[in-house]
Amino acid sequence: MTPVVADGLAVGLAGRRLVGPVSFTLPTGAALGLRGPSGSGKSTLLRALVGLLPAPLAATGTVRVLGVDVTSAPASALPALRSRAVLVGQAPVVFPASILANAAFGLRHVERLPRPALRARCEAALDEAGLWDEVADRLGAPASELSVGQRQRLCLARALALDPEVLLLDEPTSALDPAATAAVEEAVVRLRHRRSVLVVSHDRGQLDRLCEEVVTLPDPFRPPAGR
Amino acid sequence: MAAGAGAALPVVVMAAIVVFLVVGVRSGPLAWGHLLSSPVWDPSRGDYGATAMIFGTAVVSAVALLLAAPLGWAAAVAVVEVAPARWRRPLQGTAELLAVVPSIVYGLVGIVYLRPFVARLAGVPGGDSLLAAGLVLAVMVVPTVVAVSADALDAVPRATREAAAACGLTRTEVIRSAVLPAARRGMGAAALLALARALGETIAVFLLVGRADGRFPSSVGDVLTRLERPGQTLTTKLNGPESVLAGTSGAHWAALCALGLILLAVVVVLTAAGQRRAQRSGEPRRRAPAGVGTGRLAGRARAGADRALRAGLWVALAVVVALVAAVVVAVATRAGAAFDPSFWWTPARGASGGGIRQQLAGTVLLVAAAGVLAAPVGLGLGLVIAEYAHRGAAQWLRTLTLTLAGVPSILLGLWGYWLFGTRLGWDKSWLAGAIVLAVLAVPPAAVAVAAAVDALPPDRREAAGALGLRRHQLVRSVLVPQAVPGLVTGLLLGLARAAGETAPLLFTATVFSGAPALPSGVHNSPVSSLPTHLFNLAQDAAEPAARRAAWGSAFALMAVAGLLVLAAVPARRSLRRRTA
Repeated sequence: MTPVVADGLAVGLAGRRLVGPVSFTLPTGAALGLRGPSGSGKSTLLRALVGLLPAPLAATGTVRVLGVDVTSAPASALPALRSRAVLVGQAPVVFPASILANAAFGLRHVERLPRPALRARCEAALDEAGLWDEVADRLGAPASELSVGQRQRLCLARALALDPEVLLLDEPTSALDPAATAAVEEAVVRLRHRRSVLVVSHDRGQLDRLCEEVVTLPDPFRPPAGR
Repeated sequence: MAAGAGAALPVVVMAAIVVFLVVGVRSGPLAWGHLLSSPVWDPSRGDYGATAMIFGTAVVSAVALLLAAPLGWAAAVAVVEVAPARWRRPLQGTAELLAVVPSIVYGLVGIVYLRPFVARLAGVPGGDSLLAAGLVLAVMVVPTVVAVSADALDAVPRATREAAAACGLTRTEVIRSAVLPAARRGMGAAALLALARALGETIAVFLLVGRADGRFPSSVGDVLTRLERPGQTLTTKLNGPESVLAGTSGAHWAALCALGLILLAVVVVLTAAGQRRAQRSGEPRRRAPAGVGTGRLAGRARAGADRALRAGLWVALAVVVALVAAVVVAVATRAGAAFDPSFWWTPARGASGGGIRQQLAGTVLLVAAAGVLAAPVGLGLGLVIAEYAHRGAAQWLRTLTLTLAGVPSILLGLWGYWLFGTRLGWDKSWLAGAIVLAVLAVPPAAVAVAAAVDALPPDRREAAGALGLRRHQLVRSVLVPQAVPGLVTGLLLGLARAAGETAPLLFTATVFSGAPALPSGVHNSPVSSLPTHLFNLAQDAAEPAARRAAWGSAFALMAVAGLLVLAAVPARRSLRRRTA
């Protein structure tokens, strides 16, 4: 089963098309880049893939993520899908709790695990996200003490703890300095061999480094060529 | 000028109330130890013990809070997190409208509907009881809980919800794990503010609590049986005839002022704590680490729990809406008198009925005069809070202003009675009533002005500065135009609340009957007003003519308050356009 298949995916408001249409396929174990100018709706498309569009926006076209038809699936089926195809948003949101509790944030709702197993999964995820060495001695400290770059990797760890088949990364390094960017990119390169990854970025160079294939979104302010 | 006078107002009035009470306490012999340990209150024997009233106040407020806080929280979560976005504004507007329904109207509804209910429930004749007072208070403070909690929930960034949902959490899991921890402070503040309001509420409690002195539980188990019996609270004691009969010095007066001081201290501490908490609601609290608990349910069970919890939230919202509807319908269906035009311009006939000509004229005069007095002061105070004062000082001034808004109106009434009625020798005077109502209307006006100025986009201020405008020129040509819609909105909402105030007017401005429609001077020139008229009629509610006039007056009073709220709508719209 191909993890993500989008065919003529577009996002509109009250019947008016704002983003897309765009078609792409993300095969198992691959990394696909999605590129476009600011305002072309990259983040919006990524949200549409897991049914997280804010209220008046609606998606059209066909999207199958892990076999689920997202545009027609009932709302009650989406949380389960989102725990297998996890979106890591552009803003590094941490919750007002400890670093460990942040890493466990999704997992403790989704799976029933004994405490030691839960902790082991979180520690492995922090390691996979490339954050373990920096936080190993202070897992109980408030997550708000972390730098922005560390927070971004904590968000990644929160997603990885769920052991997802698909990762959707929205501008994973938008707010970071070069050193932190390198750390996050390394983490993505490491994990993409085990999972299918879709990366959204405005940075062509970054997508070339991380992905085998790059799809470019149409510019919403320019009509398609040949018309 | 107005700015200076405005900034001084909260400081001066708060200080004046404290001074008034302290002077009162010192005017006679007072045994604080006895006051705080004895339940017996018997002025004829010079025995002044307050514990029965403190007990009554605590029980009535606790009943109100225990019912209103969970219900209000759940309804706020339903409005902000679960209901469709397009329902938001109408629902929040309704909560606002409900907050200006005068407490005397709640009192009337309580007398007619709640008292018989409690009488049947407890098998107590009449039904006047701490429980009845607590129930009606619960209905009164629910809108406060909903409105303040909804603001706190609104302030949680959308990214927080999205980040939680993206990890595969269900809707209610997102609410529980991500939204509520972020909004906890603000929702706690909502409960504190509601509690402060419940503690300070006078009129509705006065009509339902039975006003029986010396009722104090003999054991812990006795507390529950006391619930369904009559009692007395601090505010109802102060609102009673004793405040006027005691004179303004001596042991009796000193004991009454001590009750006021206790009430003021508790309410001020709660309001100030609640406001400071609400202002900081965004900051995450440092929490004990760990926080890693193992999951409860998996798969289908999670979806089921989500549906059940959401249904619970809808039920809470439905209950709140039903309560609102019940109050409005109760008044509207019985207000047949108000639909007879002659009711509005026929003079009242004593305490048993007639029309409401003098009362309507008096209320319009009092509200208009209060508005004229409050407008410049509110504008000045708001500008000082937002623009002039040093940041730390502005914070304190804001807290003080909001604290003034929480001072029980009965204390303002007694202060007005003491200052204008006896010290200045005005006796009953419409101007004294208008001044007290203006004090009530200033805080909401000032807060709205400060909010409007805060919302001014910084580039506009910068552009004006770049043209070389001085501070006062900036204020006059940029800030004041920005502030005016805020002033109008806040002032009208404040006046809508003030129009329904009863307790302060009883002591300063109105007489039971015989006042002319319009006064001819300041000294000894009382007026009539709708809320105090209704207060008299409500106590005669067993008599059909009085009851008919009472419902008609309740409708008229709600119409006055409702018109003031509706008049604020265009100003609010203009404000939204300007800051968009």
